[in-house]
Amino acid sequence: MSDLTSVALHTALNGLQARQRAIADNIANINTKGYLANKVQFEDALASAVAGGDARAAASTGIATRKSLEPTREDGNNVNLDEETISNISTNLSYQTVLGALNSKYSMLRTAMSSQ
Amino acid sequence: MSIFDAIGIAGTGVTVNRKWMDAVSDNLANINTATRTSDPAYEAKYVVAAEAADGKGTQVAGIVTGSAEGRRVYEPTHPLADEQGYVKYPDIDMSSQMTSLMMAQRAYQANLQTITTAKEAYSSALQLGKG
Repeated sequence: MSDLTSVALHTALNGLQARQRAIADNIANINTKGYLANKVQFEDALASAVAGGDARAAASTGIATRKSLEPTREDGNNVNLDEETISNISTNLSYQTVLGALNSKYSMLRTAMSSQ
Repeated sequence: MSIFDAIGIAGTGVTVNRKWMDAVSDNLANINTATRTSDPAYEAKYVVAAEAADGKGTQVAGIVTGSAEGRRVYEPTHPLADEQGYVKYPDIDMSSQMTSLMMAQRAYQANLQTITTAKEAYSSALQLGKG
């Protein structure tokens, strides 16, 4: 299971889960004075690892969580509820898509193992 | 941190906003509570939210109380009125309390929505490999 597809999908799942966690944290702190939103980035790094065709690079792709530097509201908080809600929905859909792809991968392997 | 992080984190948001709504409803319930001018007035409660350590959501850092000075109102027929005819009412601004109530309610809903979305994702993950 250390082929590029499985590894890349696995890294994507981890990244999306980290993003989901960050969104939950941002929404939980929507009324906390001085709180800066967390943003999770991994897609670009993962895409270049996949383009390079290196499974090991895909496995060790960095999942970076950064504090957003967008302009803050008057109370020093810069969480944007619309943006977080949309990101929450798209993260969830991406997560389901990646799970679907992993399931297809496993089902293919199962077919290969049982059709001898 | 467990694998169901997002649910726990959103749960902290639900708790903080519920406490905030509790404080606001207590303030609104006491907005017309009169006291003798010699006694302290009802002190409004204000919930202060703070970020929890290590990105684990939010928490109530403390409850700040308003002034016990209150407002002196001339009501000579009031049973608690002093010799000059004054009673004390708490210094609570109805419109700012209502605004806080709406903010707390909306934030509460947003956190619940996060829980629903996270639950969906985790339920799908539990089906992994069963297809």
